[in-house]
Amino acid sequence: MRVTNEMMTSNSIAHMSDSLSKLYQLQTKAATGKDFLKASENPAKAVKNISLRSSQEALRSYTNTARVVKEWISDTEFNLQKMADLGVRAQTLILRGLNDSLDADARNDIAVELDGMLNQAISMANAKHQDNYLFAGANTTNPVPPFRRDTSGATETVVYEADIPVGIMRRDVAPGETMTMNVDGNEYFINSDFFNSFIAARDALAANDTTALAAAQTRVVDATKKLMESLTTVGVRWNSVQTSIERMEQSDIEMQSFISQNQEVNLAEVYSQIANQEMVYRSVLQVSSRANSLLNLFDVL
Amino acid sequence: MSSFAGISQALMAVLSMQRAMEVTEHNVANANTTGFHRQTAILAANTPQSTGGWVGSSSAGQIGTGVMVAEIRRFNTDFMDVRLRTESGQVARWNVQHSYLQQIETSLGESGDDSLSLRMDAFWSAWQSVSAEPAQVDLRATLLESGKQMAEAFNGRIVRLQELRRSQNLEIYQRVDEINKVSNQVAALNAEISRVVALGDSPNDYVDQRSQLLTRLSEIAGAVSFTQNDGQVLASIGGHALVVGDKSFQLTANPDPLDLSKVDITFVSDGKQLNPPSGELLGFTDVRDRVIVEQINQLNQLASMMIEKVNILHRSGYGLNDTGATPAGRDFFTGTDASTIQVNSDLNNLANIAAALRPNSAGDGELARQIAEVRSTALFMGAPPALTVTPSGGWSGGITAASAGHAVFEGINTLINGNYTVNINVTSGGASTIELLSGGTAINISANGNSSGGAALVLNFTHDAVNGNVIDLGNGLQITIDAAATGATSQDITYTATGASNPHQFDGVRVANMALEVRSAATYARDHTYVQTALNEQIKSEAGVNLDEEAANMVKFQRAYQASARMMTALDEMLNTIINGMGLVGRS
Repeated sequence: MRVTNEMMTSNSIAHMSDSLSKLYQLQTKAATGKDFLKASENPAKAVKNISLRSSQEALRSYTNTARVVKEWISDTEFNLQKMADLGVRAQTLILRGLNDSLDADARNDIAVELDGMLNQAISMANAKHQDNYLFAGANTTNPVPPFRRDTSGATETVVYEADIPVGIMRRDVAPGETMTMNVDGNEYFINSDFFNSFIAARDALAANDTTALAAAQTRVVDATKKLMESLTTVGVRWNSVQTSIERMEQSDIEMQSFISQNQEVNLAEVYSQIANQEMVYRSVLQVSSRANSLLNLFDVL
Repeated sequence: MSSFAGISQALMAVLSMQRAMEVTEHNVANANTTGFHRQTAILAANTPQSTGGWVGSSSAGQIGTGVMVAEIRRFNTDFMDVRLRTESGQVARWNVQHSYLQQIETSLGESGDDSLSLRMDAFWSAWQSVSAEPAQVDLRATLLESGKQMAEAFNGRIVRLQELRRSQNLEIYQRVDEINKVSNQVAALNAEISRVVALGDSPNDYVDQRSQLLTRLSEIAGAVSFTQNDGQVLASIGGHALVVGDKSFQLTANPDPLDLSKVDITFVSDGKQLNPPSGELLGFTDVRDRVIVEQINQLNQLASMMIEKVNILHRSGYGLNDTGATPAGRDFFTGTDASTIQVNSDLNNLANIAAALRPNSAGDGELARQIAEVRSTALFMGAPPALTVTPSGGWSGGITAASAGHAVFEGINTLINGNYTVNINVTSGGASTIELLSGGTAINISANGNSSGGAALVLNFTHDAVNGNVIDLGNGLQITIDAAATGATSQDITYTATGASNPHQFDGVRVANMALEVRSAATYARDHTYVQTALNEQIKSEAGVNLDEEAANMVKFQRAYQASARMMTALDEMLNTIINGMGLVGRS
């Protein structure tokens, strides 16, 4: 092949720029720590990256929801537990009231104490979690508390004044996993006779009527049992949310490592490639300088 | 033979060597000139003389009369030049396309922190947060903001794409100017070359210049050329003559009257459109008319589907202050596509954002939950299928004037809320009019929620007498009511779309398409550059200047020149003997 001087020059330039551009790419990778900066550098990985980040974002928003649900349920459980405790204490007081050795005054004292406990129980039923009523169905921002003592009738009752039928509050606690987070206050406090059995017991004690008190005792026991059942349900929910959160936190870590693997470079690999490419570039420069030396026949003749 | 013939022979040799030396010098001088083809002085023996005749038959016959320069020849590489031009056209096209596409990719920034995908993620997450704590006003504010940012992301992308589209027009104007100038120069060179050829000379340097210009024409617009016997070339682009003899056909670039953001290139002489088969112009127009248009279409499709799906759900929900029994029916988004999508300004009152499916339920996040789930709902079809609807029984009675037809479509999300032109082709007999609800030529497709799961679009239209017709809804969707349906009063037609993908998958496909465009342009550019480089090497190897060779030639001609001069001296001395030394007979 006939070799001309222009071929030598253009060849050297081509090789130098080729080698330099490889060095540049490696340098960019090393400096940014990323395998690709634009989708076109690696379309498959770039699209995978988008979908991984999107899944991670979705997972994190599910996790946040689950945490909110967990707080709500914890608060619910706390209040239900306190109310169940009140139920148990009421049973003890009623037992004491049934003791034949007590006189009317002593029974009246117990009635006053029971009335105080009823107030405590109602205030717990009206408890709020971050300004939202826990037991008011979905109408969590009802202008008045959902439970109120109503003394207008012949016998006093506690009435429920939030939404009926009670709205359920469903939340997505994990992908494909929806959970009802609120407890139906109307069902467990009014329909179960919890408040009204307290009132019946108090009235029986005030009236010094042990027969009525014995009847009220059964009602209080049943209502407390019912409340305990709801506590079990809430406990199961809490466990389930907690498991979901733990699982999603685990997946989040895994997802993060997938994302890293997908888009980040192996620095050790890149550094050794840079060292190698540097050597190649140096030899290209040396060879070029020799090939394009000033030496030609004009100098020798 | 004249006594002085030897001197003039020596003179011819001296002059020829001088000429050959000049050619060598020309080569050395142009060693680095792009497109220069080396030349060589072809030396040939002069016409010999016969020495017969009265001098006697004992003579040796013909005698040489020295040397002359027969021709100054250019090393021709025409065959390879033609191939090189084809490759140069491809290289130029893909290089332009690659850099243009890179600009688009950079400007869309889909792999950075400003990607549309991340904006959509933020939007869905905000809905999810609202679903968890629907009464929290700050979460509603975040949702509103993320909705606005997502709408902006859509709007901004369309604006940027259209700006890029327009900016390329400047380049197109500039290239058209260049074609006109270059083709004028080729025409002028054609005239000069044919004149020189007619005189029997070879116009080497003009041919080099013209070859360079033709290569440039190939680079700009993929021009091809053919060399005629008289040395002139015919150049054409996409089958239309550009240069014929000493005449060139000028081009003009004007905004397209139908789409002012686009420039059309036509020939001034006959108004025909320029169709470049390769070259930079094809690179510009391919990106402008195909890639950008596809991106805009996909963004529009994505935006319109999001608008439709979110609005359908949002309309069925209740805001914090909505106490009525029926939903307030507020849209979340206004607009119909990526350039017009906006968050409904009614929602600046944050209580108007609907998160509940029941009135008076601040804690109900059910609707927000459903909207957040749109994230992973398969909504989007790959390509809209041709829809053929076959009536499924129940056709009876007769379609009388102004009776209503009722069609239900499930999952056809490309049918977005808006006005569609309905084309009706009556395939057999009968009256050919269908009166539309509005009484005009457009039909309003109202997208109503469907109670039995999945949103459906309900299309109401009113018939006149119909025998058979096709209702074209655009996007390749048609309702065909066949001839058997004659006389129908009302019919529910159900179609369920298949092959759907969710918003993120859909956007992923769009980003991948763009990335693959950039990548394939880079690959094509590189591949064609390899071929171009190889051809260039071959041409340089054949026609380039090798300085060592020229140095050797220089020495060769220098020595021949010196020898010829010495010959002349010798002959002079010989003549001196005759003229000054003869007939003196002892005198000195």
